[in-house]
Amino acid sequence: MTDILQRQLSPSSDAVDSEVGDETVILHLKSGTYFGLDPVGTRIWGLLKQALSPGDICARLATEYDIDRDVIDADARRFLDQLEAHHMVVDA
Amino acid sequence: MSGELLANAKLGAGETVRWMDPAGPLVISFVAGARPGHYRLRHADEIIVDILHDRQIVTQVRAGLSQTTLDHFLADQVLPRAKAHSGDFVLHAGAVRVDDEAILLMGASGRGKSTLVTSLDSAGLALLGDDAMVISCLDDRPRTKAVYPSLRLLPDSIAALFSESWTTTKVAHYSSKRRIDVPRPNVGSIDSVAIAAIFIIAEPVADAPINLRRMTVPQACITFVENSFALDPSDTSRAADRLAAASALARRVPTFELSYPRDYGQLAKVREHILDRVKTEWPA
Repeated sequence: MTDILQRQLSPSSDAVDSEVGDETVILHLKSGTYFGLDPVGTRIWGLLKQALSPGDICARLATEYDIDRDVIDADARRFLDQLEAHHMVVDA
Repeated sequence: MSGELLANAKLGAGETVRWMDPAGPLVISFVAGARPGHYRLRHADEIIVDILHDRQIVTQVRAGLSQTTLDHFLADQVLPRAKAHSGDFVLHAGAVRVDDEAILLMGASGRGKSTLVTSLDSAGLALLGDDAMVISCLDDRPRTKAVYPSLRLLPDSIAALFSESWTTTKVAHYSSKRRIDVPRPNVGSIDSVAIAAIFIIAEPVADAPINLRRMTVPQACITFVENSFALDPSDTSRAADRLAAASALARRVPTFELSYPRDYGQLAKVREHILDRVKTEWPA
C-alpha cells in the first residue's frame, strides 16, 4: 500500500469547512461526521485545499514550525489517515 | 395552500429521498420534473407538503385529518425548513428575553427544553419561542426571532409548572404535547433580539448537580449545525452556509453545556444558575 505521504490528496467534495478562530470544523455531508482541527491541522487542511501534495506540506511545516522532518511526517501520516478514514480527503 | 384527498403515500415518479427522520415518519424527497427546486415532505400516509421554488407551499392531507394537526405539522416541520432553504439560519431552540437580550436554550428532543423555557417564562422572562428560532449574524451581536410563537408542553410539565388552569389544546394527533393558551401579548410581536448566551441542555444523569460548562468554539459550532433546520441536508452549498453561520454564532456568543437533575423542584435553582451566568458574561 502506498504511503499516504506519497499520494496526491484533495478535500472531498462532500466536506465543507469553516474556520473558528485558529481552528477549523469540517462537516462531511453524507456521513454527518464532524472533524475539529487544531491550528496545525487547520494549516494542513488549508494547504491541501491549495492542492499541495502531502510531501510538500510536510516539507513546508518542518520549516514553519522548525520541527524534525521525521516527527512531522509521522504526525501528518496519522492525521491524514484519520481524514481519509472519515472520507474527508480523496485521491486527487 | 390547498387541501385535497391523499390517495397514495408511496413515492411518486421523479421523487428521490433526501432525508428520513430517524425518530419519526417524516420523509423529505426531491421531485424532478417540470418545476425546478421542488421538494416534498411526507408525514406517514397522512400529509404531503410540496415546497416549490417560488416559495409556494401546497398541501395534501388524508381525508378526516384535523386542521389542528396540519397546522402543527406546517409550523413544526415545514416553515422552519422552508425558511432555512430560503437562506435563513434556523435553530431548533427555545428562547426567552432578559431585559433587551435573548437567552437561547437548545437540546435534543425530550431533554426538557420546553419545560425549562416555560419555567423561565413563568419566572417573568418573556417567552420568545419554544421550538424554532431564526438567527441573524449580520454584525458582532447575533440576533434571534421566533419562526412562530408557541408554547407546547407534555401534560406532566403543564401540571407541574402551571398552578392556574389554563386552556390547553392538543397540538397534533401524533404528538402527546399540548399547546398552552396563556395570554402573552409580547410573543411574536417584537423584532429580533440580541443573543446574550446559549445553553445546551445535556443528557440527564441521575443525581447530577446543576453545572454549567463553557463549550469551546468548535464544540458550539458543531452543536449548532446539528440542531439547525434544513430542507435538504445533502445540499452542499446550503450546508456550507449553515456551517459558516454556526461558526459566526459560536465565535460571538458564549455557549454553555447545562447539566441539571430532572426534578421540577430544582428548576428555580437552574434558573438562578442561568441568570447568574448571563450577568457574569454581560455585567451591567
